[in-house]
Amino acid sequence: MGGFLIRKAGAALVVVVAASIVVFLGVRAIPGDPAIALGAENRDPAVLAAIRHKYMLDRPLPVQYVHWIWLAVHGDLGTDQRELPVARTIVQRLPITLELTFLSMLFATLVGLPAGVIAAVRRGKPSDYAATTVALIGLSVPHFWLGLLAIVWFAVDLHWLPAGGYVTMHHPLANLEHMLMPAIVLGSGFSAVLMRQMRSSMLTSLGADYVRTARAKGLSEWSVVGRHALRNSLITVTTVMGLQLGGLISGAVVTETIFALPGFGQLTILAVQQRDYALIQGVVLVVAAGYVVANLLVDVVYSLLNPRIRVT
Amino acid sequence: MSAVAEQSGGPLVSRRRRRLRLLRKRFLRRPMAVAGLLVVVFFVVLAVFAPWIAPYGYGATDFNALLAHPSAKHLLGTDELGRDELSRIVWSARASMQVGFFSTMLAMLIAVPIGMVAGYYRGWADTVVARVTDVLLAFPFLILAVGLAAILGPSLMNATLALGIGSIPGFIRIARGETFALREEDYVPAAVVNGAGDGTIIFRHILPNMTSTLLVQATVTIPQAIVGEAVLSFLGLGVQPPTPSWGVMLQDAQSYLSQAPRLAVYPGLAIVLAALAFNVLGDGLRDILDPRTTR
Repeated sequence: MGGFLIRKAGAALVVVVAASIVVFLGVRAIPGDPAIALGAENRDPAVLAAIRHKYMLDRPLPVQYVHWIWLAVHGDLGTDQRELPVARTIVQRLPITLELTFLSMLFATLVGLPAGVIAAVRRGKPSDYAATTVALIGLSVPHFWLGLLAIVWFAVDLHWLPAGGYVTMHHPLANLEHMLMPAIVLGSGFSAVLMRQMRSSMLTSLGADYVRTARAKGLSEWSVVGRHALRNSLITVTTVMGLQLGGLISGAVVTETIFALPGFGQLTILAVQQRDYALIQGVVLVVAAGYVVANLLVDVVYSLLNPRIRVT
Repeated sequence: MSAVAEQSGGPLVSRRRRRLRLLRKRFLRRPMAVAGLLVVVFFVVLAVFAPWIAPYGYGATDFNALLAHPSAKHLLGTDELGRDELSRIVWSARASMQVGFFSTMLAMLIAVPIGMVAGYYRGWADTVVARVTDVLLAFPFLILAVGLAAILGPSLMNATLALGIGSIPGFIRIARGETFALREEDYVPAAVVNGAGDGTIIFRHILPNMTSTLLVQATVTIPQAIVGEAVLSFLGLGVQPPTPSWGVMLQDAQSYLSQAPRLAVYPGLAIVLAALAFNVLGDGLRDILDPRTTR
């Protein structure tokens, strides 16, 4: 197990380093001179040269990269166009996105898993068709459109929920009120994926020998489904949850933009729209690193659930 | 199998034809898949013949009917500039289908040869390709597309490029995995004995046997690109006005949610319908091509 963990963590580290190089070069490939962007209207060569010198833009690329990554490892991602430290902005905005992602995963699990189990157990019956159809539609509905519709119905027409904005967790009820719509919107697609996966792996489990044995032993249907089939189905579902993380991050970007949640996703779009190089660089690096680490965690959880994986 | 086909085509061709006929029969037995195909064809027709199908041009304004309700003149009403909503939806099919098909084709053209070479030769080439894919996969699809759109600048062409590049890792993995498995098939050593070179084996023997898997992956990638284009355009990073796109229309609609909520409904319905059609078609193709479901 230890060796397996170290190997996995090592591979993840290599990927993060490579991804940081991609981010670094990518930002340098953005057309336009960052010195001019930073110097605002000032085109005085001396000023531009000073800016270039300050941000090390006059040094060779490898030197710039090493300097950047050295500071990044120490928690310094430079300053953005408004001279604010990028790392602090990210740390301020991250909790909002984490809360949103957590709530939407909670929603997706609470809806998707039971729906998948019910659809599998009642295969071919109307409830199965209903759940399968809703899931198929859920897969094809883009988050941002669902978000717009939710705002039209629940905020503009019915006045049930606020159309957007964020309230800190110091006011838990108001916070939840603002988070409810975004979380459900973001979780909807995820719940559809979970439902489909749960249904198909439950169908596989229900057809397996050990389930027949359990039935033959005279166990109750409840115990056969819940204790035997469900437990094994959850293993496959964990992997799918891991694969969906990327979709969840992408979805958070869009959802936060629509609901005016000042989270990490909104920051990403803002950085790109304002062509704020330091900000883009920092944000994308954090996304990539976080995504790789999250996938690593999924791998570890998966290997704990399924010991066969560790050997291979 | 008719005797004529047997004589003219020889055993190999007739077997292939028989398989095609079998697949068609299985496909036609799935009403959902057939419906999906019909809707896909419908959208392609809309895109190709937009100038003849749309009642008005996509930029034609009617200042006597701003934010007008649906009427005989404007079946789905008009937007804030008096542009016909239905016409704009029809014209927008162009951007969606263009991005959907071309980005997927781009991804396939780049990814399939790379994946096949990696899967066929294994060794260091495979290691390098696998690592590069891992790095590309370290960026969530939309983040990668947004980043690329930032580098390339916002336009229809660049959205296609960005979404195509974003789909490359998925295709590499599939092409690599399939090649890995297919090169163990008996017909590979048979071809070697017949004096076939690596190129012949890869392109004449392995590639044709993985077309169905690639086709299914394409039907997954196209709707992803269609939705991706809408998202990018919605965020102002994709298709730029005045070029119409469902994402651009939704972005415009966002400012008029209280006055004209229907403007936010129709373009979204078009996106869902198009994406759903491809997904349903893909599900159907997977079912009929997957040997495990063969009866």
